[in-house]
Amino acid sequence: MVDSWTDSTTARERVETIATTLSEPRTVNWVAEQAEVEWDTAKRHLASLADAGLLTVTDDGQYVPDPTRAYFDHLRDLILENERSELRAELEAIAERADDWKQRYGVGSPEELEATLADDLPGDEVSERRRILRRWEQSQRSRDLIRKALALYDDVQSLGDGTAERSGSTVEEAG
Amino acid sequence: MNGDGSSYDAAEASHRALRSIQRELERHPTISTVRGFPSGAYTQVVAEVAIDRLETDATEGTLTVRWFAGETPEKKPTFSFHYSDDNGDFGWHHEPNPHVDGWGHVQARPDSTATYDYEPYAFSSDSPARVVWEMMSQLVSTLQSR
Repeated sequence: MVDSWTDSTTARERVETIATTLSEPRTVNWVAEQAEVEWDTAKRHLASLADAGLLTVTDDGQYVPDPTRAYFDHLRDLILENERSELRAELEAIAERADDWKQRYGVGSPEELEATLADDLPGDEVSERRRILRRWEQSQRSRDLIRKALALYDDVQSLGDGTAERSGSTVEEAG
Repeated sequence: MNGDGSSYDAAEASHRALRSIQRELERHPTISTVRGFPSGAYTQVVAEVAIDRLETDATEGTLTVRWFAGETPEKKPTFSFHYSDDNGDFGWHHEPNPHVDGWGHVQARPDSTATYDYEPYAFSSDSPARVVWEMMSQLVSTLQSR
């Protein structure tokens, strides 16, 4: 029989997985329930994750992923998990999608598409344009992140190579 | 981060959820490979199910997971875990559908030309990692009972 979540993961893994993927601040109680751990266990691991910079604590004591950390984690994942050619192909796909939207709606940018929402359009059409607007804005954020990933690609990859080559070197030598 | 949601980014929250889903699927014993698409900011994760580890007559199966965190932190996420193989396709969806009351439902059809049957389904959580394990348990049970 297939193992359950609690059989296959440690309490810390469950707390970390739940806490680092939150989209809004959550209490210790909430995380403890979702991760299926005792309150004390959740509190201890949440505090540890906050100390490590993965989480931030709100004024009312709730936990949420640190947005800066999340951004750089995303950038690192793009570089380490994709070939340069895959990132370039993704940029091309984003550009093609944008060209399609420009032609379909006769606009030059998401801002111009947003301006058309003030036009006298049927409700369905407004909803559709809002949906495309969200996708377009998301595509632009992806494009900007992929460009940064490509700009840093060689530097980050060489850091990994350097670590392997200099596994016996000191911090001073590596720096 | 001030905790009032002012820095909330639905795309980033969705991507983070799908990254978590990818990690949990990679950890699951009945999944062989997992990949997120597109690479820039996932909108879906596609996993190959290790059919040979289950008692089923299908030759290969694919699980496609979609997750959108919602426009604001207060909004419920929409997501789906949809499985398909040469014997048909079925999936658990959390999104409004005209065929069934409530957000949670199961939809299934015996082949690609048939219409879907819909049944209500209550998810026990809206946390991506927990939903993965709940869905994998449901998926394995369904495949073994077909």
